[in-house]
Amino acid sequence: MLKFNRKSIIASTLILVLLFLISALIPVLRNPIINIFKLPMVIFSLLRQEAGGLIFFHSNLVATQKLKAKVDFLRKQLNDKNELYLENSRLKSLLSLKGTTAYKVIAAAVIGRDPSSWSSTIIINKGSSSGIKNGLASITFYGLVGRVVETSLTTSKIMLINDPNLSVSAVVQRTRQEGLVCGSLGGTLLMKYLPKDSEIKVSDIIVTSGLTNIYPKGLPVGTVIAIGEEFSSLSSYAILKPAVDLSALEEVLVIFP
Amino acid sequence: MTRKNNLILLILFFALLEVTVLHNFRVFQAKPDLFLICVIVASLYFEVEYALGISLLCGGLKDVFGIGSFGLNTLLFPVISFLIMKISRKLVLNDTPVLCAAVFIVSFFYYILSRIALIYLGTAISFWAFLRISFLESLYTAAIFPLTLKLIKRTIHL
Repeated sequence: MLKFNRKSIIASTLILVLLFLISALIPVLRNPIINIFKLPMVIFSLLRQEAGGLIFFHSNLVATQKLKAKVDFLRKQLNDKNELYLENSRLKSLLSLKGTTAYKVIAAAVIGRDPSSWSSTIIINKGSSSGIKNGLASITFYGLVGRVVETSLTTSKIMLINDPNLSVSAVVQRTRQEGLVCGSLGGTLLMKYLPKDSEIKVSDIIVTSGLTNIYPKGLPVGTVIAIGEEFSSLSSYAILKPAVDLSALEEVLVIFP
Repeated sequence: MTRKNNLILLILFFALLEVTVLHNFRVFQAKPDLFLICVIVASLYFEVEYALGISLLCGGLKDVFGIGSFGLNTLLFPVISFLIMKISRKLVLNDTPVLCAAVFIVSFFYYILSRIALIYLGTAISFWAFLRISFLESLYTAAIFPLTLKLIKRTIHL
């Protein structure tokens, strides 16, 4: 069906080589182009938020009512936690233990998302001029979001925890069993390499292990929704619901260790 | 010339939609690929040089907003555009249902090529995730193709 003569083969090869060269140049062009698009992206994300508020007015109203009820419950829990925190601090000072470091955080707004479906990243409106560097962890008040993978002067890209290229060392909060949490490009995460006789249960909370310096210890990663055994029968795995709703991120915090 | 400039402006507008608003219109984590639609339209209705230029622009924009050390779409889109131009000379693609079916096939073919390239570049994506994303996105892209084509035709007076 397709006929190629010698001339067209040479022309096609040359075009292909040229395309390879341009493709290799893309990472260099990325930051200047994103900086040009920053302002329209901010405007578009503001419009998206406003339009979303109008379109989903009723569901927002219901959600607000539910949240108001939850706030009272959480307020009581927070009060109990404060008591425990104060008691813990007193006991720690009695034992002369070194306290955990308080992290410095910087807040940033999400202005864009990866158009490709094979990775899961967001673009935020803060960059190296705000002190953001590659490798820093990103969170919300609910838990871990991901890691900074690219920075320009005024924008940064964060790879989300549901990206298949990102792995996080984590532990089961209740039993302290370790595993590796990986993304699956969907709405769930996969915790691999759990011991075969693991005591993990559905609705267990998974937190970061703090084994690497990238993610601080104890950040919520997700909740177990299913457990299974690896095909090799050597270990178990768990499917997690992320602690953070990754599809509805509007603001994130970047942690400075 | 205005027609061609209008298409470029429309592609820039689509790029902004892809990275912001379209995220709200995802169905089962899938969203339509407006860049691919622009590549298909340019390949079907414009001359070779301009269509290749458009596919280069679309691929470049898609890679700029993504991550990765190599501009995969910058390479794939012109190749797909070239193949569409070659095939469209042999086949009649006039009716909307036929065009939608062609968009679905082209889109699925593009995802297969992407997966092969991603495996080669070291990104492991499970087979089921690939199948789900490829099928749903191809379907979604084909479904919104008539509407997008109408918009493009109106903007550039095709």
